[in-house]
Amino acid sequence: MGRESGHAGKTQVAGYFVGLGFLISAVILFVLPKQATVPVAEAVEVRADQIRPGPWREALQDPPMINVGTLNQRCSDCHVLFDNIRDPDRPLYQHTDIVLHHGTNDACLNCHDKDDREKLAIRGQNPVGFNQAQLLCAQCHGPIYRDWQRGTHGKTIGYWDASRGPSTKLICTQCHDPHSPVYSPIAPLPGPNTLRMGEQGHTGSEINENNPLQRWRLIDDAGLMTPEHGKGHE
Amino acid sequence: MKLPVLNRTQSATGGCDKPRQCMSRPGMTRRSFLRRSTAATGAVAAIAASLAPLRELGDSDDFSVSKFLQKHYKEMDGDDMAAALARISKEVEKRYDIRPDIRDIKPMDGVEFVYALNLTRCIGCRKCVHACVAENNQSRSPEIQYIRVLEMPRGTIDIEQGNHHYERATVPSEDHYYMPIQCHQCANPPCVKVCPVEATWQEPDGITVIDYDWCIGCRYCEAACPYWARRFNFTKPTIPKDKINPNMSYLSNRPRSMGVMEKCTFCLHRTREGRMPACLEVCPTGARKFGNVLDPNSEVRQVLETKRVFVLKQDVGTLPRFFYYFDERDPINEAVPTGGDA
Repeated sequence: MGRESGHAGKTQVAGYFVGLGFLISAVILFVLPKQATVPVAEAVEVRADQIRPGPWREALQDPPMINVGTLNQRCSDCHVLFDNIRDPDRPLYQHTDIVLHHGTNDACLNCHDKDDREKLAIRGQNPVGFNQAQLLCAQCHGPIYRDWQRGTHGKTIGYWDASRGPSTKLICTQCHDPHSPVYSPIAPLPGPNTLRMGEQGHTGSEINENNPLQRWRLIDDAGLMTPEHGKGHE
Repeated sequence: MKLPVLNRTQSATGGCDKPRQCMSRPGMTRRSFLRRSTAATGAVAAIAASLAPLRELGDSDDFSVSKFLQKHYKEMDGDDMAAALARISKEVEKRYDIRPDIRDIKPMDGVEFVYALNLTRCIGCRKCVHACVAENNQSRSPEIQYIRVLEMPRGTIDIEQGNHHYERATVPSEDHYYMPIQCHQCANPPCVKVCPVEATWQEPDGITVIDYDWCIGCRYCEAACPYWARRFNFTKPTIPKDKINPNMSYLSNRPRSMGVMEKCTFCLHRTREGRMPACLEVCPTGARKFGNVLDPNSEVRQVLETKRVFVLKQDVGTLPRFFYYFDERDPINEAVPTGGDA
């Protein structure tokens, strides 16, 4: 009997300590701040003009207006005054801001109509206005023009459902600069901030081993991980 | 320290030495009463403490009785939906000081949405990522983005080698191409199959949606998705008041609360009204194509019929409605003429 009551007494004492533990944890839960601190990335600032929908660039309309010096002027305001002499070696006194970077297409009058500077020249056909530039481009860029007609090249904005509203199919010059049609590289918007992967390299050249998406950079030309990291590439 | 024994059963009187104390209840002494009442008080206090996190609900507008009692989206009738929209509108107005134009937009008949993306044209500028964030009221801090743009080394489509942390002065890099990944709106979606509460499902126009009021935040769908397309609100999302897009719908871009999943819905509040998604309208290169694949003249149908097309992780059998394609010619290589014969 004595041994049994001693055993029960020990259980009893242990029971009190459990109860005490509950009480302590209860006090702690009430006293501590309500929420655990969650590591939260700071918001990145993206200006509205950086994500503006619509055409990539302002294309000349029909009739074209350009800013020569200070005034917006029609092409014919000047070009009716001057003779349209085709001389490729003649130095330019106007339009010196235009850099022609269009491959072998390196003369103004390949595209601009010789007699009416407000039109674009089409071989063997009547010249077209600047808002029909795709017809000019199509003379050389046949496959791209075919894709553009199908809608697999270029950009359509507005409504995909024509019964609900208008859709605008952008023409070549609303994306490409006709004098330098290849896209120039642009600055990218900020990348994702994934806190759990640790500090990310900012130059793009540092290798972050913590980041599984950057481990490919450790792979050398032979398809092997570099030896200091000791991991074989299967 | 000598502590008395709780259940005293040594004697035939049930541990009662004095008859007066045994009148109320056998075995109850003053000491045992104090013990038991202390233990009971402690237990109640411990239970109260364990419920302490519920205090957070008090100053949060994420919880309301009407939201708690709200039916599943598919069981709601017109009145139920009107009540839910009114509640959400009130919550949004309280949180962001703006009265939203919130609707429940149903799918259109005879429409199945498909997206196509031209890998030859994408330059990795991430405009689509941030246009999507602005359009769909995603949390700015912590950051939630539906689109990932992977910078891929040329010559492989192994997305394990992609890097979405590229920080360059300018893009594109000549040694890489860029592959944006977002929800593929699969015809056989694994995320829908794993949801234990049917909070996510596929609509007749092919868009997989989430009822944010029904989601329990178990993140099974996030684990099931082979395209990393689902995002979880680990903490309360924050959006600056001046950045809220008031054009909202129940199933897409209404503000979410902590503990629910969210994902790309092809901007269904725009696309079900005939408009193009936000990521497409912002793309500076026209790499993105969207439309109704059942319409033979749509741009996406033309892409599928005339271009070389592939889907990501075809072998997992998800049947994506998001297609990647490419052109026969490569503008980046053309931009760097090598022999002057460009």
